[in-house]
Amino acid sequence: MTKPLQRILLVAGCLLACPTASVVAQEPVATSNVVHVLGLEGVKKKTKGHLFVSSGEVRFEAGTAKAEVAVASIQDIFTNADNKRLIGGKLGTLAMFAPYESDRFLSLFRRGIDVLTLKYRDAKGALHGVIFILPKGQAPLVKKQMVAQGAHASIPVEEEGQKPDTKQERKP
Amino acid sequence: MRRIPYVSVVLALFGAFVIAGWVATPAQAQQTKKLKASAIQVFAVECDEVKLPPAFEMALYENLIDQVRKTGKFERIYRDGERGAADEANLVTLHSKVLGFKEGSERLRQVTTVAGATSIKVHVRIADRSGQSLVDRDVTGKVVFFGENLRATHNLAKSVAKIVRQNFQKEGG
Repeated sequence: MTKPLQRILLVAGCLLACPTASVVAQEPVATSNVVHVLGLEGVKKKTKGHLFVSSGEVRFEAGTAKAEVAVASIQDIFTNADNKRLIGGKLGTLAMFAPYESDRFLSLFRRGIDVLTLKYRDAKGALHGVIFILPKGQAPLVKKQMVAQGAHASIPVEEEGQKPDTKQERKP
Repeated sequence: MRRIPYVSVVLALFGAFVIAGWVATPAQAQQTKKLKASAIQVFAVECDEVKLPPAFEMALYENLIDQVRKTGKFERIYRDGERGAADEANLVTLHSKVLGFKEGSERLRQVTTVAGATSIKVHVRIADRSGQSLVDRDVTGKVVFFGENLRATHNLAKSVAKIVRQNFQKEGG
């Protein structure tokens, strides 16, 4: 094959690849295995679904249930690392009846999770709070995406994860 | 020795109860007189003095709205900053201030059962339009045995809803 033909093929290949790349860039990035703890209207508590951050909105989808929050209306975003029992749900409840206190032993095995808290005001100016549980390490990434699209965050992403001074807390 | 007839003792006791009931009834009626309001506005949780993690702060606020709605005592429930609240004629406001917070450990609770409790203490104030207090109470929400730490906010909101039920009645009801 001659060199000019190779060049033509190369250029054609680049032209074909470019639109595909732009489509990929516009695709919303979904975070799966996200649990909606509370706050979204129209979505039940503790529903598992996908979280999308795209075109100026945060969208949570769980089957037919959907809820959106405009990124611009977000006043603050907080992330926090936590942990959860490895065996939970119905199986975890059944484990309570297992012999030799094995339930307590199983409680020692835990998996890390991230808690993402959003504080926003709707079109009427009403304050809302939304809490999500994300797989470990995902919350700072989602926060970064939201901040990049115009959400406000009082604590920068880099400073998140540093534990506050709990000594100041007063016991009830 | 002369005996007091049994019937006269019973009659005397009965009379005493009747008189006591007659005296106590107006006071009790005053106590059970409930307040009426068509709308309530739930304000954001104040946690200036005691640091409350943001997740707890928002969970408490959302649970308060949820539980107050469930009482069915108000026709409309407004959130913090909601514009329509200003036009309400018969509006009461719900303010909550965090007095204490102790974050326990879910793991410790599950392993030991007795340790690792989470508790939140909040001062709840329900006021009328002029700012005069109608209800002033300290409420505590706890998770002692089972459940996530955030469940303390749910338990606290349920206690606040109980106070609302005790003090308010539905307008026209």
